[in-house]
Amino acid sequence: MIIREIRDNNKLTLAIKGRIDTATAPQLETAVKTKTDGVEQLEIDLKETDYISSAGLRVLLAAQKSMKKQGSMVVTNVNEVIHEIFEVTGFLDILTIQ
Amino acid sequence: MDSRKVIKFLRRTLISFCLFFFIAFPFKHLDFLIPGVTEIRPENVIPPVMGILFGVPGALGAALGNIAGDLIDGTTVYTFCFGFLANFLYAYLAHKMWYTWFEREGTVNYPQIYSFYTCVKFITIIFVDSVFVAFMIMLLSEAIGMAKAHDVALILFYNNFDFAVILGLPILATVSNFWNDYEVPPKREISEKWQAYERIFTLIPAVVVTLGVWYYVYSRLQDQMYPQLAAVIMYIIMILLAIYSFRPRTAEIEKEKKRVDFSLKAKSNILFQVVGILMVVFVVAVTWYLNTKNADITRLEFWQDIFSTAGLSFNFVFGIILASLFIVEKYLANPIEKMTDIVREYGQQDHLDHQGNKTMAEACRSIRSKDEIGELADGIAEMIEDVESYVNNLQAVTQEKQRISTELNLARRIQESFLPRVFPPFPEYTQYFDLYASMDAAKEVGGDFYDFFLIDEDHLGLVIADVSGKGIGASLFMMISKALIKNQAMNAESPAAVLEAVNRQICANNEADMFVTVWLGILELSTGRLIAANAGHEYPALMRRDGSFELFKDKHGFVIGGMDGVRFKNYELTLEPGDRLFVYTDGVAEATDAVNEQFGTERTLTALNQHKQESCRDLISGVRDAIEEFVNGAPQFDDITMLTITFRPAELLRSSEENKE
Repeated sequence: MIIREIRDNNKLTLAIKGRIDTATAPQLETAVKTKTDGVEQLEIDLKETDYISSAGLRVLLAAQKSMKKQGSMVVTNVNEVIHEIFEVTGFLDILTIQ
Repeated sequence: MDSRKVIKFLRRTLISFCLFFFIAFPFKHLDFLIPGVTEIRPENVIPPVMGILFGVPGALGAALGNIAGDLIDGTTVYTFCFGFLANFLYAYLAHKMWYTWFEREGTVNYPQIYSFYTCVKFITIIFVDSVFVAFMIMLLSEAIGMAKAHDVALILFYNNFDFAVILGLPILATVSNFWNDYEVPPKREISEKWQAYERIFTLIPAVVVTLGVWYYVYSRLQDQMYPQLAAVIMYIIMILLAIYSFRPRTAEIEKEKKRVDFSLKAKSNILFQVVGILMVVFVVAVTWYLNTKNADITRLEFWQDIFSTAGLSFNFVFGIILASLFIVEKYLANPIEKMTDIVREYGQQDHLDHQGNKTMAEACRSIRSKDEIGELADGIAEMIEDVESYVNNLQAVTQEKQRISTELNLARRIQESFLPRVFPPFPEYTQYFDLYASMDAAKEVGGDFYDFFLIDEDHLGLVIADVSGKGIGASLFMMISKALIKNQAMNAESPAAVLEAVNRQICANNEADMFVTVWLGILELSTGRLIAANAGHEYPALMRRDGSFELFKDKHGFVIGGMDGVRFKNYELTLEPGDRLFVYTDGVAEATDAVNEQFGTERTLTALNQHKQESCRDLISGVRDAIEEFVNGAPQFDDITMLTITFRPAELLRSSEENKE
């Protein structure tokens, strides 16, 4: 899984390419923890993400909670498969999807 | 007598003879050095070399070769005998001297010329041996009235020494690399008696040399021949030397450590020798050339000049060579040999022997050169120390891993036994429902679970759940969630209320931000009324009697443990007799094959429908088989958990029989 960072002042975009599963979720978790200092708007771009497992959902949830304290978080470019996962797990109502 | 030994003896005598004679032969027809006394004798290398290597047969062969040569020259019988004895002694004494001189710590080594020490030993022995022979022949030549002692002494010496050393060194150096069947004189233990004899033996060379030198000086001063005196002294010397040849070996032969086939020392030895010999040859050639230009020179003077130049230049050149060899050995070959031994020994022993490692590292560090050798030695010492600590580490880590693995296995067993596994679970209720469930864990301990329990005699609780993630954390969370859900459900609240209560409890203590998807249903057995709530879990599959399994898209709340204060909604459906419900975790639909394609909900439904008339147990194994066939050996990443219930199964049975007709 490859994470591309695009920093623009206080807005950070993390573009994720690949799968977010048990093996790769820690990488995303670390990225969110270490790169979001002073960030007010976090965008998670899932355009090139094939799949997300419960481990990935956990990381998104934790990211959402921590970004709530310092700003906001959106998830963008969600494909059909991931959209369904969000729907089934109820994450659709919790995350801000654009 | 052992016939093989005899053959060996004869063979060696023959080899020695042939070498001596065929080298001697061409030079017989060249000019005599000292008419009647001696000619240029390169074959003089043969007696000491053959003697050293072969012992008696070598000496014998050379002596016989000399007789053959003398026959050709046509000398007297007297000279024959003398020549035979002199050559025999020349050869045999070299043999004895090699094994009795230069004892180090009670050992001597085989006649292998590969180092400074062995070169020096050989040159010294040949020097002394040549002195003996020179004396014998100079006395003989006076005894038979041929020539004055002081005229011939030096040339006789050089005739032996030069050839024996210049040719003998490289020959022995080369031979020792591919042959080692040396003839060794037998060892004798020194008893008290022998101590006295030992003293005599050590005196003999001194006496011989003294006599010879004395006669030489006397002859020089007097400048005339004393045939009888010379003869007497000659006999004395020969007898003394003959006695000396009986000196026994008392030293052990050094057990050669397995050396490399062609060691550094041997290589540098040969290199230096070749260089040295070339230089000597060069000097001699120059002298030869200059002397041929000099018309005044007599034949005797010519050859004296050549020989002494050869001898002296040899001394000079080889002195330098030996010094260089010594330096190379001390600063290069020896430290490298030492390190080679250490490394070899290290490879053969246990890397954890701390004392052994320490000794070897210290041995390496004791090589204190301020160059690449010293660095190499330090590097090896460090490596030894590093490897020891790595291996120690590795052991500790492996032990720890083993321990953890054992613990994990235990955890998995506890977890697995925590799920109800007795079917049918409630024997008195078999007319109300048929129930089966299974959980196949993935490689790593996981967090899926199912549960079923009677809340009261008319209500059955059904749970299926999936904890986020894997590992010990997920399995701990699973245990808690299962207990909380059952506990709360036994209070006879609705599923939504249960889930809300459980969510509150979990969120209160959820530092690790884990969550669990849950489907909870409560079935009223008398009516078939099913009330359920879904917290982020997969859609159940529902089959009506005479119908097929389809996904039932129920309303989804958020996952349990995700956020505090989340509300859930109940929904209701009524099961008719013969209806079936199937719930599962995402391990089913997301089972992947080798090309990362997922089993999917479509295939799940297909598999269900293939077995839709079968018992709950068979239905689940049917789905499991379909998954196994699909993944075709690819590893299982997620737990595969399934629960299915048939309401009033008799009805289903009847309908399936009807359908068969």
